[in-house]
Amino acid sequence: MDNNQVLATITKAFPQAVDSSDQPYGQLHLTLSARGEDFLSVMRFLRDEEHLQYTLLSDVTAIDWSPQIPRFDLLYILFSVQNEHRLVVHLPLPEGEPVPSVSAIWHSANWGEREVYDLMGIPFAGHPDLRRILTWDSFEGHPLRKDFPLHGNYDVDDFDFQTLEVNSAFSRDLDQPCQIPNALE
Amino acid sequence: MSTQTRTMLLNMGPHHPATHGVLRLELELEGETVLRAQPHVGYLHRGFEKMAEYKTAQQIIPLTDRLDYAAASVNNLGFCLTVEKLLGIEVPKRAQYLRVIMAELSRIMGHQLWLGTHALDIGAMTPIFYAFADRELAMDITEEASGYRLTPSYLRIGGVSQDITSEFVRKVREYVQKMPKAIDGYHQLLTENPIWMKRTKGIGVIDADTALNYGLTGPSLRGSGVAYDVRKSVPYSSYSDFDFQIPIGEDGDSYDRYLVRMEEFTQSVRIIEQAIENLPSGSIMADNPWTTSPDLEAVSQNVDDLIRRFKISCQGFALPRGETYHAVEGAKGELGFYLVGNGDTHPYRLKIRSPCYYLVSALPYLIEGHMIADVITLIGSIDIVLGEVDR
Repeated sequence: MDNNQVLATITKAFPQAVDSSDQPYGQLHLTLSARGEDFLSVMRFLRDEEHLQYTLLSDVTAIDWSPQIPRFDLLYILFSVQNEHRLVVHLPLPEGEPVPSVSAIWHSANWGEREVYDLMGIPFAGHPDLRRILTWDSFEGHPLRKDFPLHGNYDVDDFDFQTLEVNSAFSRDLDQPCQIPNALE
Repeated sequence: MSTQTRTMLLNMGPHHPATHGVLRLELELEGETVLRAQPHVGYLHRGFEKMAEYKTAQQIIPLTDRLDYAAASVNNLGFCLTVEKLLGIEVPKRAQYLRVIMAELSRIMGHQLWLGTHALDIGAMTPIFYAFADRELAMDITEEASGYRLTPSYLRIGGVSQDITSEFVRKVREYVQKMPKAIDGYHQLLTENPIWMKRTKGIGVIDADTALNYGLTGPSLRGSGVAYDVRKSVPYSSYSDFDFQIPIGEDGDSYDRYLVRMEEFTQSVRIIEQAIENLPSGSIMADNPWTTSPDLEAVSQNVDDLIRRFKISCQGFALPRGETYHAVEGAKGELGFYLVGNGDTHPYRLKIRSPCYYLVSALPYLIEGHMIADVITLIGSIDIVLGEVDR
């Protein structure tokens, strides 16, 4: 399937969902206007429709376009192994607005969305395990936002490493402390 | 006296030798069986994506070396191709072939590191010595081309940094001749070894649909029987010129993933052989005045060229307004770069799609229900490099 056939299939099933489409460098980029439950059904359609079959969600990421409004552009990079076709889905997003999580559709979105949440600060509704992933739990700010300074918010000499806690997924429901021997002691 | 069954929480890592870097696994154990597992990553997070927003395209190339540092050149290739796609640069055929040679060499180096450490983790001490001795041959070739062994940064936007020498050709031919025998040696050590088969067969089975759903790519996905390889699906850098096959597994267990990687050694050597024998003559850098520095000969003759060389190296070149995603087949899977340009010399945003990141995310699925000793097998079996996971 080529770009135009894919576009026709999607717009036929969801005439209202696609806001605009573009084909820079021969790659199909769709901008969706669907929100909430409609957005999820479009995404589910992309995976399940027998002619499309975007079974691989390569990556989830976001671009901070501040001071533009809406601020963020959330991206889903999909690949159909069957058709060997790449599709990039854009979702323009104002700051603070939660997006329904697609982790029930693709498991890979679980960690993809956690990274976007951690580094860009976009909240996902219905995510099974929305915690920071690359930074630690008590980290303040979202490093990939354009208003986050390159060198961080404080000097490394001023940081008290003793205050760092150990991230844990289980310790609360097992009622056991999660500890790593402290290398500083 | 009453006996109480209680599960135990165990932290494996971040300084555990079998975690291949700084991966921490939180395991909930009942006896020696793992009930739940949760990987914690980020201990090697260096903020490459943020740093890239403050660097020119040429300055980012050495950063990409440090993603999957076991197979560096293929990371360079992914980034250079993305920038070239955005700028619309046509790379000369000779440079494309040289890039393929370097990428396949780095793939072999990455797989040799995997083979040695994976076997060592499971308890077979011998393979690492053979794997690392042969890895040295590939390192020598990399050094001959670029001057560096581990982090070559041989590629440039629009081509490669320098033309190869006759010594390079001799070394590559010798390498291509030696490798098949070396690969046979690896097979003799492990492939039909009963202990090896007992430790890897039926461990960490993942079927094709689940593997795709978890975002697995590369040899780990092909072990489950999905013939998805970016080199074949969306060929780049003249890969369509070469005759090679995509090995796939059937059962999706650790042993199949092992067999797939072992066969990839042979296929990579085949590609290198074809590339070096059919190496076209011609230029090694794209003929583009905005991105290619004039050579030193021209600089000494002409002041305009001197200024241009100075501007390209100090200022860089503007990336056009636009965005694109480009993926290459890294040693671990689909390595993609999403590059956004806004007319500035620095990328507005660079997202690195790391194959290892998604491989680690599938670890809980693979580990659950297995023994602690199998956790070690599985970390080795999916072949992760934490430099790429954390970026």
